[in-house]
Amino acid sequence: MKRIGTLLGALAVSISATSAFAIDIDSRYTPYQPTTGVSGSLKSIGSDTLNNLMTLWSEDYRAQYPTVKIEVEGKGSSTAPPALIAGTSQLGPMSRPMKAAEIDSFEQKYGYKPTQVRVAVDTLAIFVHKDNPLTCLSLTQLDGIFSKSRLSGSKAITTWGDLGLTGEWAGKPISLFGRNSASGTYGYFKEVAMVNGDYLDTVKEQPGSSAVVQGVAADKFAMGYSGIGYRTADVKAIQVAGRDGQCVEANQANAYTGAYPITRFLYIYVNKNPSTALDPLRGEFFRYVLSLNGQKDTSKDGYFPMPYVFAQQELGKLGLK
Amino acid sequence: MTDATMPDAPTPDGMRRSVVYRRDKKTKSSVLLADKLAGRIITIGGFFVILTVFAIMLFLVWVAVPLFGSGTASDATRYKLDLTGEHVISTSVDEYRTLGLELSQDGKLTAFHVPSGRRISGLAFDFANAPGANANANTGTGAAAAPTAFARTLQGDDVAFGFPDGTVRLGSLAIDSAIVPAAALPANVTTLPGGDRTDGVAIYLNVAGKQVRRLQPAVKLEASAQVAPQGTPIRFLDYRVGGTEERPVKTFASIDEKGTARLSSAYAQVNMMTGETSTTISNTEVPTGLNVADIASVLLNTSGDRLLVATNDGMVHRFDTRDPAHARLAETEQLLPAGVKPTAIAYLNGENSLIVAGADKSLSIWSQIDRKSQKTADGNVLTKIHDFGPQPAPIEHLAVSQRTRLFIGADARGEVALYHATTERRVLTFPSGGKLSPVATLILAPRDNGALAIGKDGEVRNWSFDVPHPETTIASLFGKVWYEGYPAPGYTWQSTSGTDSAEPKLSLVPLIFGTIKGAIYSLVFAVPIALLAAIYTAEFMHFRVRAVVKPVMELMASLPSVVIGFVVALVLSPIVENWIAAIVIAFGVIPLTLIGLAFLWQLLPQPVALRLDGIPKLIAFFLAMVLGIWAAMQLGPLVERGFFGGDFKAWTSGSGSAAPFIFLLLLPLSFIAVFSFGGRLLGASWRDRLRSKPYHVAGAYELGRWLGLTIAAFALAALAATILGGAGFDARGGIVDTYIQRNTLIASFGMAFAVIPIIYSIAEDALGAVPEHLRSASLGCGATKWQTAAWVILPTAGSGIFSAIMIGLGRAVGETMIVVMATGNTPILDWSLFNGLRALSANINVELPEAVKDSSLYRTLFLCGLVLFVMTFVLNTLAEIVRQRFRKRAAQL
Repeated sequence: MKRIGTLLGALAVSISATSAFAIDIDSRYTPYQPTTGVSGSLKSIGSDTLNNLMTLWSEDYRAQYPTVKIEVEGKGSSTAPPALIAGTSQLGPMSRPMKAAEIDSFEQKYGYKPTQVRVAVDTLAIFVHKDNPLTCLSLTQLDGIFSKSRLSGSKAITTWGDLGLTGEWAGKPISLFGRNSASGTYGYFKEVAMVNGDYLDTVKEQPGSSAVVQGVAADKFAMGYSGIGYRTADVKAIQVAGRDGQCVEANQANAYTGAYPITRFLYIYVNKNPSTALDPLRGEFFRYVLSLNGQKDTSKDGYFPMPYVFAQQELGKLGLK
Repeated sequence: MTDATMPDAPTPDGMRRSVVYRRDKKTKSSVLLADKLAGRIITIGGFFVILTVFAIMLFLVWVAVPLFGSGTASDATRYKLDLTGEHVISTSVDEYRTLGLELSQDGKLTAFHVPSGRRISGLAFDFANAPGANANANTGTGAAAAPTAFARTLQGDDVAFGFPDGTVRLGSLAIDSAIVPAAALPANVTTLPGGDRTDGVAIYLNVAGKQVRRLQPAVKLEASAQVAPQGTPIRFLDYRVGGTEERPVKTFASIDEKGTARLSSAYAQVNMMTGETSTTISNTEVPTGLNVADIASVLLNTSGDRLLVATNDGMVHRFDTRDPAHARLAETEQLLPAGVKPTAIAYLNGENSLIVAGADKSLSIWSQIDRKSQKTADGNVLTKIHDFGPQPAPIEHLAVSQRTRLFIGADARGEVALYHATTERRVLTFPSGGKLSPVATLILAPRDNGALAIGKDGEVRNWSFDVPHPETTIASLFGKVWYEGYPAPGYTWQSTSGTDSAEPKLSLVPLIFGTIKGAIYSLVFAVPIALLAAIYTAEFMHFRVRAVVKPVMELMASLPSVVIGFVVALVLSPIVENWIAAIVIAFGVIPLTLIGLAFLWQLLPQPVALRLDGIPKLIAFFLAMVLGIWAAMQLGPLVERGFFGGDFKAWTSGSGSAAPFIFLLLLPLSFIAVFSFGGRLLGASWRDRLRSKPYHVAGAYELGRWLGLTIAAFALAALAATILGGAGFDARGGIVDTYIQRNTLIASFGMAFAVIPIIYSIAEDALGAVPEHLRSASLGCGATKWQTAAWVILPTAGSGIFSAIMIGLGRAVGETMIVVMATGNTPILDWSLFNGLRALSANINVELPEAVKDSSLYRTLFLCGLVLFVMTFVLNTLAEIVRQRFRKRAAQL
């Protein structure tokens, strides 16, 4: 199944790459300068949202250092902490910050906390079928569509007619696609759009972001959410309105100003002893990711590059500046 | 072997015989040894199989059992802190339970080493002298008025103080933790009991490697903000910090001396391009109309859209502040019997439930539930969802967990107990280890592993406890639980979320239900097809065709289920969705076409029919099948337009009349009724008349009779459906409901594809194993092939067929990948064919990779495995018992 997911993912990448949206990368970023003495193997286990991007990064990193081996596995953010703790992976890509209990069990084993590195900006996108006339949804409406608790006080929304669509759409129920609970996207959407309410039992849980997009593409009356990096030509990312009621498109400018209400960072967690330096294999990987080359990969995959100021902060955190 | 016969007749020539043919009549010892060895190896192998199965079960039990343990608490470590003359208002403890902080009302902090009670130098909030201090504050003398109100967030790091002059100051009170190299340890450290070290300012803990962890208290106080009019003291305060790390939102609610409530919030927005933070502060008044003397406490939630004011008569007033400019009273609810004073009120983690303790010794949990009530402004009502029953004494202090639904309460006597909200139980009572003394403040350690109670006399009681799985009990896993925000108690599976504040919902009932639902529906499709196919192949099919068909069917079984699941989910489900009406009627049209063709076949003259037997006949049936599918596709839209209002999917959501679907459901029953009745009515005399006719003419009569009975069956079903539909029966809400693209129908198709070859293969073998003499005897007595198959072969092979179905059922129960991919994994509890399910096996597959080892979810997933194991074990044992009984009967033949 993973292989199929990767296949679909690769398809998604090629499509989103062709329909590339103009993304600016801060001119202060400099190209990556390779050094010597980098070899060995790395394993990354974690987020599915970051899966394609991790693959891109590791391929390009290996182009710099042909002796390096990197294996990437992406089943969901929640798979990252157990693997980092057990030592089966060296990199833990996650689309949400670690939970307290996860940090605890890491600390229990190593004595210090894992280091969080922000590597990309994602606007979590709400996808509908490409023929859907809907243009904008508010967070409250999303809560009414996806949540059974509806803690934001919204009314239950079950058909497209409830969202104001007419004609053949009016009577059709909204078919909902979402991620499985291992996903950080699942948790983030729950937190921000549903005020930590519970998902409706009828939201179809998909094992990967590409499966969500695939599901929406194949079902005319569907709606689903996933990272913007998985956008294809068959689906449409609609605008989302935040607290102020302004419809905002999921683009770079709105992600950076925070106007798009479901914007988030994507992270890679790493096991770094605070009193010693990071080994060159992982150190150079992060230096690569947070360089011009790495951030070009980020925008190629459909996500938004890290703001330069923050990228420098992260390098400082890793002792790489 | 031992008495091998001689090929040659015995000859007198004994010599020759002995040379050439002489054989030992004893079995060779090597053969005996091999025999014995093989016997032993097989016995040992069998023993190991049984052992392995038991070992797996034991392992599952081993992992799952701790879910039901209640946990332990240590005896209290007691010591006394000298807090003379101080009015303690709050306590903090770091996550390592090493450094404790006491905050007294004048802003003074006492820092102490938690395990020993040794004091280290404290800090203080300097209310008098801080940047931007209010002009009216007495800055010159350095002595400002003591705060009149205090609040802290659940995490305890953020605090707010209200002052007599109507100002509020926000601040933070944190215990900073950092890892430093051991070499950086200050020179003047002294060792504390237990091995920790201190330099009087910070505490140093040893951690692995040559490094130490430094814990140090840190305070910060922001500039004061004038909230209430000048000179109006702030009486009540509550403070929350929410939003994301990048965009914190600070909200606080205050009530001043005059009873005016205000809601203030600071909304920070970070520009990622520049890294700058801009803060917007809003301040609005909430009209409460309450007298300040009646107010017991005020509670705010993190998003700042709900404000609760509890009063001393046991009432709570809920204000809707979603639109701060138009804050309104949403509801007034009596939480405690009239006149009973609330002794402690607090939000549980997640702020969707309220813990209410009253002077009448009651303790209960309340949650805001959407009841569409007319009595409240927004339809929501605060409802009591858990009641802990009367406690030994009124609970006066509460402290809640930052991660789970645990909380601790200290009663008026000073006894401290641990409670869990979701499972509604007093988990344990902390041993006091001496005389009880009334409690001044109470704190639950951030990692839910310890508690600290500070007595009014400065006596500290420090406990550590270990309650690893508070959220699981037999009742919560298998019974109905009233979760916060839910309209009624129910069975829900919603195990995790991205944050700690969600209430985990671990009911196995929807999963067990999903497993059974998936297995039953897939067998409904698989069993008739597989059995009829097996009977046809074994009893009717030409042996040359059979030689091809059987291996092909068995090839089907070798398809990996993930491939089936993938094809079904991505290719079949959109097709089925587009053609749903055609597919529903195909269940009737295809069998009718096939039976129709069988009657038409009888019209052929006998020699022609005999010549075309075998491959041509099979091809004809195949064509009839195609014809049936084509007919269903043509009829589908017509039927949809004629009976389902033009849109079958819209019909499933509740539009249109119920009768047409009941008609479809009743059709098979009606057929059985009409044909058994018609067979009896037109029995012997009909057959006598047929006998006198030529073969193909008799066929025409039979065709005519079949057509007549079919029309009668349709009419009967239509009549019954009209009556039932008129009487209000409706399949919707039962076995059909709103159509969803990934559904049980689709999954059942996929599962049937996986199950059919198994049932078919075993059943066909069982039929083939029926002794040939039974078949010959039956045919010889003049029975037709069909009569022989139905009344002789089938009953004899009953045990084999039963085990075929049972093995198929076992496969369907344990099937994972098809269910994962085709159903959408929705943990719902209804029988509808048109929505999804979440099976135990699929659930394990989806959630195990994310489960932290030994967490409640991890163990619950192992419990899922155990339940699945027990289900298949019981099923197989039952099947075996029934099979043995069948076999005994068959053996008598």
